[in-house]
Amino acid sequence: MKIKIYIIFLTAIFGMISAEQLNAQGGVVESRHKVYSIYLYNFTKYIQWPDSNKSGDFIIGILGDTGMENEIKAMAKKKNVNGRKINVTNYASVDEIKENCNILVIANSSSNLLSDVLKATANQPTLIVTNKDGLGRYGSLINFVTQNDKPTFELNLSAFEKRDLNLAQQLKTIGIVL
Amino acid sequence: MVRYIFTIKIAFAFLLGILGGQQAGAQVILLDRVTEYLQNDQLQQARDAIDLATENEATKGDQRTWYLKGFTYKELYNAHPDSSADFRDTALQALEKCQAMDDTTFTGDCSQVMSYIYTTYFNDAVEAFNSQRYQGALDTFQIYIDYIETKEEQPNYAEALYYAGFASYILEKDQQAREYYEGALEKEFYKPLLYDNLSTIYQEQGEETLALEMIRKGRDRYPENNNLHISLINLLLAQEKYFEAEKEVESYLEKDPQNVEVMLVAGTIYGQIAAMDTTNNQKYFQKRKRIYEKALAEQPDNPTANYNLGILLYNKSVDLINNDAENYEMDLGAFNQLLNRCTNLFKEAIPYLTKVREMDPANRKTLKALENIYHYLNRKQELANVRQQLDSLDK
Repeated sequence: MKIKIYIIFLTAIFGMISAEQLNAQGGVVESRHKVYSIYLYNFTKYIQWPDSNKSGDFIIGILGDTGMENEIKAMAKKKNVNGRKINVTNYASVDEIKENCNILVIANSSSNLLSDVLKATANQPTLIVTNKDGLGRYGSLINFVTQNDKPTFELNLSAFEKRDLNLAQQLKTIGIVL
Repeated sequence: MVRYIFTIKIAFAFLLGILGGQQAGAQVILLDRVTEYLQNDQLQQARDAIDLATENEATKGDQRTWYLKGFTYKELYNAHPDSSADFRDTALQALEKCQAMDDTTFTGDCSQVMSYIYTTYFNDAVEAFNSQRYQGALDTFQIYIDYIETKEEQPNYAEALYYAGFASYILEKDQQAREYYEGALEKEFYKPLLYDNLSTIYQEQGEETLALEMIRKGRDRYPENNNLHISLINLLLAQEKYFEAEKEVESYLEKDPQNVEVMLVAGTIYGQIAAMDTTNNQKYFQKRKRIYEKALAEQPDNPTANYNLGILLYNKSVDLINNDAENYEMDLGAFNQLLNRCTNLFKEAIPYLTKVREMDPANRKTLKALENIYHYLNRKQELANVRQQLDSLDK
């Protein structure tokens, strides 16, 4: 008897194509803030504070909601400034800003307080850092900006001189000197 | 009415024979009549006659009776293969009885008819299989297998084992499939799918070494079979043997360089290796980038390739910021150079992620990545658009 057998073709299937996993660190918009925190630490290396401001904790103050507080605190946990512990402090108002505040970061939402801050800290070696177009010329010492799509910073040299803060040449090479 | 008359005639012939003391003659008459009916294709009459003969004291001890019964019912099956009456079963019972008798005159003839009948079971099983009635196919193959395995000559035995295995595999009766397949292999029956399926079964039963051995044997025997090659790659991935998988997938791409699916698998493999072997991170980043670019050269709108390349570039930039630059002691100039790289990577990622966004506007991961990119690049309008789209997904 004739036996009929049909051939069955089956196509193998790849079961193992996977999508690249998104490198997500909890929240999302953190890359730029991470960059700022690294810059801030670099500022502590490339800026010299007067002797009167070289003891005790190194204070980084934050005025308003900068969105980068977590990154700054994370940096403060890992690093120190010449052996000094980095203390991150939130200020609710200009009046709370302490004399020994080494770096003050002003949130965009509080940028209208810049002139008050400048007045309140006029005789202090406090590095004022902002993050809004135009504030560098307005008086902040360092203003984070974007140039050619890259986060960078402006340096107001005359503002530095008024506050007895010395900055290293490397900062002038990398930043935008106003 | 006609049938009734025939039956009466046969019974009458018997009676005459017995009353006349000519018992032997009556047997011959009746059985000859069966033969005559069969020759004239009068199957129903043959059936009636032989059924009587198997009941009658004079004929039921005669081997020829049972042989003729077997033959008659075989013919009935041939004439009515779809009948609900199980003619084959009746035939086989009769033939077995014939073979069990001391007289061996018809033993050879019985074997021939039985062989014929079992071959019809085999063919039925094949037909059931081809019609995707796998349980029916399996049951019927088993009938054939039970018969043929006791015989010296075993036509189609290995095939029956193979297809029974295949049916079992499709029915997810893995252990049963395994036994059939191993039986077919012992009979030196070879098919690519046998190696493939048996390898899969071994893997699922936790026998990884056997699984790999089996697929490699299949590859040795059928080196040009692409499905086996793919199965080997899948298996190596499942067993996390990524370096071997890398060799195999690259060898596959040499013979099929335009196969986008394989390219994407290669990307997956490179990603696994990169995760394991961070010392070669840059090397495997470049390999993944190149393979996804090749895939997109073939299929520019392939969603997986677009997504994977976009996220790869995005992740690389994020990793640079998080990992390399985590080292706060990095020289400011070096950090500045790093930011240049990050900027370029983010910008390179945008068109791919944008394409995915167009194809799949609800893909949250794509939108999150774009949100981070636009925030980093300080592109306020694009950032606002993405955030608006994300907000609308939350509603």
